[in-house]
Amino acid sequence: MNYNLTTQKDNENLGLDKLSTNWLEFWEFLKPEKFKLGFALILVGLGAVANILNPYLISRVIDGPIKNNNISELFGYVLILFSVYIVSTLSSFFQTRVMGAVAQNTLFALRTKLFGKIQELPLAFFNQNQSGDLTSRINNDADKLNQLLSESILRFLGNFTSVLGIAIFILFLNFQLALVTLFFLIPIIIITQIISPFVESYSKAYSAKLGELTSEVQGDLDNFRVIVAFDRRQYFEEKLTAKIKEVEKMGQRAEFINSVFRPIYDVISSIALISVLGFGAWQLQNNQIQIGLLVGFVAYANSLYSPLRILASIWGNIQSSLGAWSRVREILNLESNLVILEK
Amino acid sequence: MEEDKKINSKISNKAKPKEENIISFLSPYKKWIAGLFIISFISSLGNLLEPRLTGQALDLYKQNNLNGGEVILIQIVSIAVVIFVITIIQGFAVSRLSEKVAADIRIKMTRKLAKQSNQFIGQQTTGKILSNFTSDVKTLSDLVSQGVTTTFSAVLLLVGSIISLINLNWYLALWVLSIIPLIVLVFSFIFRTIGKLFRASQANLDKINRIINESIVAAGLIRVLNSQKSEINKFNSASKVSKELNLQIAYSFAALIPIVNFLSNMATLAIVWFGSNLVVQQELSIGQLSAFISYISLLITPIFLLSFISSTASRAVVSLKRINEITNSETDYSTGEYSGKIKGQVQFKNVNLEIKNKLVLKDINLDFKPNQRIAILGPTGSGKTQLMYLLTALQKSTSGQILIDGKDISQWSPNSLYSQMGLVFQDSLIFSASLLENITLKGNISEQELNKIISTAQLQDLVASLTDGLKTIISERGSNLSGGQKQRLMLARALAINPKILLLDDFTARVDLATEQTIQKSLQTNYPDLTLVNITQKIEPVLDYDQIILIMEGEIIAVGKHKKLLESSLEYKQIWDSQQSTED
Repeated sequence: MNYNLTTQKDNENLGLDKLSTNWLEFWEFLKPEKFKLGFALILVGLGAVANILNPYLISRVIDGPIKNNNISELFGYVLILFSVYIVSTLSSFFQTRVMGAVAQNTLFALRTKLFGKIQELPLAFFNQNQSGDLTSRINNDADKLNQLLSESILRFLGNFTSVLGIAIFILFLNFQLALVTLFFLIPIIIITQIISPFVESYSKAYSAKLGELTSEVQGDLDNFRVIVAFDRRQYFEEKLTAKIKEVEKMGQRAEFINSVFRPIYDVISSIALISVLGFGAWQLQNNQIQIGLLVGFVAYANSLYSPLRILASIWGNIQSSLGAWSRVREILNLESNLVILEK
Repeated sequence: MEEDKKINSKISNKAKPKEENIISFLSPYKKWIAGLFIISFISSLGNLLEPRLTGQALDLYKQNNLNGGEVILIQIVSIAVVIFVITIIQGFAVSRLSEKVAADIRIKMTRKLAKQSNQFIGQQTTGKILSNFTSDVKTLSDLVSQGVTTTFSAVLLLVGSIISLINLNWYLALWVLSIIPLIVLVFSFIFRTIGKLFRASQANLDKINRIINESIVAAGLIRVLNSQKSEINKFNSASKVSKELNLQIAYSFAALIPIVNFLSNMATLAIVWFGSNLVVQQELSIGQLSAFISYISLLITPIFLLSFISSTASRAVVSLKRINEITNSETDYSTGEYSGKIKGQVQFKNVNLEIKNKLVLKDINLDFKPNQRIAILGPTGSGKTQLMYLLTALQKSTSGQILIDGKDISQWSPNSLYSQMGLVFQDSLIFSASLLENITLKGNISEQELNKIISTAQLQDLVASLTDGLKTIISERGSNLSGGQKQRLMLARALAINPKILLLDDFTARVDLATEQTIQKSLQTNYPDLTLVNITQKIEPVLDYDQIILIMEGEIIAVGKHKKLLESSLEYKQIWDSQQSTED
């Protein structure tokens, strides 16, 4: 039987269709936590509503009490804003708590399963794979999944619902200006689609190179007696240095590709802001909009595109988690012909 | 090349063990850091200008003055383009720098490790060095790449937005700024709690690493003993501890962000309340009010960033300390300078060896003459292998003297000693490399010499059977070879240096008697000037040796030829008899 992880066919580039079955298997680990996940989701929704209401309320303050010189109305708005902030604070507090618990429980289950699986596998598996690579899969890759669950998913969902909620909400406020605001989501989505596969494949290649280095170090240290007794210290040094340089090169590429998301998103969001201001000016002239609402739209454009920036950076993490998950999966999906006897 | 020299000089500076701190660690990257500072400065300036310009545009619109608005829009566009270019450059620089830092640290460790003794590696453990090479390096490179740029832009944004706020309206600014001390207080309280938890969690991670490593290295044994269940239990209990610790960390973090957000919301509320009053009194424009609210979020972000950087920095301090344990270590391997041709005489004079307060070898006295064949006989755990390590300076004796050709072993230069002394280890130590590379270890060797080695070690059939012959790649633990083949490969490796003294540790254990006898015969014909030390448990293969040394529990019980020992030593006779009966 073939137990060599690096020659498994599955290891090749993952297409998008594969991606969904990939995550479906991951869902199996999340299932026991589904009520907590549901609760967290509700909290995320609440938080998003609070975030959406904030700029709207401020624009109402400008177009209401301020415009009418009616300060007595202001107190009511301040009270509403205050309660919105309380809701947002509480929801974000409980979200992080609940998801922290989900992440740790899932990680524990995953590690247990992985370690159990490795114990199930026959000796041939260990002979065909390098131990540094295995350690890295159980530890580093599982840890990346932990990060995914405890931070990335939550932030992703929170920001995603904010973007979605804001998009829907502003369409009702002023349809035309909303279309101008939202238009720039299209190039962002397209560019993300183009860059992500590169990010994924580079990050996977980088992990692989790092795994090679780890097993090289491990092998050499375990054989250090030979290096000493055969006076091959220089050979050891040269061999490792060459590997380290390879890792450096690959890492530089992977990291750079990952870093281009942010500037692209930033520049598009600035263009969006300018378009909102320009089109808003035209609407102002034609009395289709009030100044307070335009202030609100500027705030919405900011809170639409700054979560996108966060989404972009999280997307990078999710991509590398995907690489991590497929590396973990390769072990879990190995079939074993070894039977463990209950003791 | 130039880089290599730089690293070299860094290492030679390290000759006097000086504790390296984060500042001295960063100093080689001064130029990079200065460059990143300039980049951060420009992009922060751009980020600070945007809300102000937007506010100005809104105010112009309110006065129905659209022409001025265009100018402002063009300004915003050009700022956006500048930020775009700058951020791309920043991404490029940061990715180069962070990987360069990682590679520099790794190379530095490699250089130091290459000069270390076998004992040092054993004390540090492979598991710890591995995490030095991976997670510790990562924390430090993160600190340099993300930490440096983030700190710069965070500080610039913080200072910039404070100035902008005061500049817009100092009265409102005071309300916003009053939350900063509160936020700092919250952070310092929570991070103190997290710091402790974090260290505990890191220590536990080392433990998990160790368990995984052991379970892989000892995979065979675990399967033979069918002890998977106990391994799984061991792993799960460590994993459970990690779960609890991380949960506590997550809970502490859960409080942090909402509290800080709440405080910033309260500042927004204050701005809405007091700001609106100012607008009504026409002391503040609507555009300025909008800019104020934007600046609050600009103000909060750097505080978050700085706090995360401080936690990265504190982790980096720990990682640097762990790495320093290697890079600042004193090299304790033998640095003798005597070099000469070995004739083959080996003497032990009153040698004692203590490991972990246990006397492993007691008062050993030996005398091997050149060209003699010597067997060291004894049961498992009698100290035979330690004796061999002493003889090859892999281990230092606690007291007594070991002489080679009458010269203390520590006076011999390692180069001269190891180029004349061949070792065949008990366990097969195989590198992931070709068969040829595993034999020569990149040394130079003639074709003729190579053939002699291969035939002596009885490897010709193996080489012939492999499609790529000597170029076949062997995996780390040599899975594509049998135990005997691996053992003979070890022999070939030892012969490749054309040794004057050859040491075999339990060579007979995995090689069958017939092959062993063929090998011994060709050793005698092909390498007639050899002093051969054969460590073994079986008497049969060493019957005709010049000296047989019986060792038990670290003490020499008897020395002599086979016939003499049969008469003089009761223990020897017992072993001989027991081996006779099992062989029949």
